[in-house]
Amino acid sequence: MTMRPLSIPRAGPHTPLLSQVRATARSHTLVIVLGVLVTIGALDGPALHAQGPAAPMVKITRGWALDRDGLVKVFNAVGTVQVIGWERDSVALVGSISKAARFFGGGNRRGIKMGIEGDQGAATPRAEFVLYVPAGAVIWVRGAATDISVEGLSGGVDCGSVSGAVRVLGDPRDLVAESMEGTVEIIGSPSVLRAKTASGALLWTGQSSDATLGSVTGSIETLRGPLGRVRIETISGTVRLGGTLAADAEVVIESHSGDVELRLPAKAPARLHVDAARFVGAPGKPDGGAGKRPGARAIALNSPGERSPLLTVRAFKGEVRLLPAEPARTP
Amino acid sequence: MSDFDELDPRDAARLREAVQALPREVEPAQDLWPGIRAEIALRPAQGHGGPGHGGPGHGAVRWGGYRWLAAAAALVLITATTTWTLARRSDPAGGATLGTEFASYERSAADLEASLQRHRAGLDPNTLAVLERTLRTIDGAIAEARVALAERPSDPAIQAFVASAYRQKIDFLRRANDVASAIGP
Repeated sequence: MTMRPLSIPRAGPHTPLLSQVRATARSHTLVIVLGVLVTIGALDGPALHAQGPAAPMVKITRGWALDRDGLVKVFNAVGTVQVIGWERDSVALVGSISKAARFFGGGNRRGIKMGIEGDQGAATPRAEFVLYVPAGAVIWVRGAATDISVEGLSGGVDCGSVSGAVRVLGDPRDLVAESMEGTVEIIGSPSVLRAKTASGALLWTGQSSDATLGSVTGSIETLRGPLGRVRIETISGTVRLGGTLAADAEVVIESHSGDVELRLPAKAPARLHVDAARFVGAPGKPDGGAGKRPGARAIALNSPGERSPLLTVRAFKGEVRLLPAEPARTP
Repeated sequence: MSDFDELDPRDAARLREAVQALPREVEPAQDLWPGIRAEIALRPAQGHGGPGHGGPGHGAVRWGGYRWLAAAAALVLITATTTWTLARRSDPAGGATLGTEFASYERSAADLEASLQRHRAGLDPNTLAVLERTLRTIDGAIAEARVALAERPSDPAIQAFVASAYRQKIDFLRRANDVASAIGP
């Protein structure tokens, strides 16, 4: 499933919409937040309705006060959830839900929980949520056929969908992003990253000192870097490791039957340990030893020292290819 | 009969009211993870400068501070090595040890699959199809790796592949349970 961006104005921390809101509302009272909600709702309402399914939808707006590091939990089984960080200590929700659905939401300054529910046995209700939350908040989103996008957050982010796409833009402190069938795309540099899919593709552009990426059949690709401690696991997905390596990088890739492409910078020193069914593009020789598989070898790239980046690649059936780095591309 | 009934009725009412006012979920007042991460970052990675590997002065200072930790680690290492050696003696191919490890993975997987089964009624057919398809793929990989292991039981690389496939199955089942409990009834 591809991401369907909502046609609402981008309201990240530095966009004109937020500047406009800032200019007109200085305090952080709930009353003013509601005023902002009404304004945004008036701007976006028709567009949201226009993108909704054939089933009748009704517009909702809500607002809550929330500490800047508070927690927001969102449940939406079908539809979209778009979370945008802003420099306020409040949460604003603009959206639409199936006419037959019931919205629930509430909490206190430390945490808010929201979602929709329908009647037992009825079709799963649909919701299109756009949430403005404090940039330092901790966000938790769960959905099934739900596209989730998050941007402009510096706190913790944990979002998971079954068949929807997950897209995270920005540098949250800790990030967990998962989808079974949908694409997971991360453009940013969380300190700690955990991203997983089953059949969906996983693309990460950024850096992290501690990252774990996983898939079952979906492809996994990293770009830009520098990569620190990274672990990549797949059953049959193709792995493309690109980007620079941090001086103390330790990258481990484990693949059952997927191919692995290593696109390392031309002159960067690195120690490479490979155990694969096949290995292509290596300037070294097999390190020998009875019982070793054809693609098993240790390679020193560009005269590495003992503390140079270490890459360990294990591929049971897949082929490992060492290729020149691609020119930088814009995600 | 609840514990409240043993109190003075007015105290019980006040206590009941106070309990009802408590939030259902409370986040920890202090996020400990940044401190843990900072501490980890301060320590050299294993094999990259830990005691006995790093610069001379640096390692010596740390050794003094972590003497007991190191002694405990050494004890664990010796015990593990002894156990492993004895196991290898009783089964030169290490088959029994591996068999135990894989059986443990299978038990965990069975528990998680049973848990997933309990949520099944609340999941829509598309979600179920995704879960089942993915599990078939992982099970296929496990079966393939185990066939290879049967042919070369002492190959540590193949042992690692089997273990890795099992770990991915457990991880996937945990995620599936997480999704099922979050979006299910």
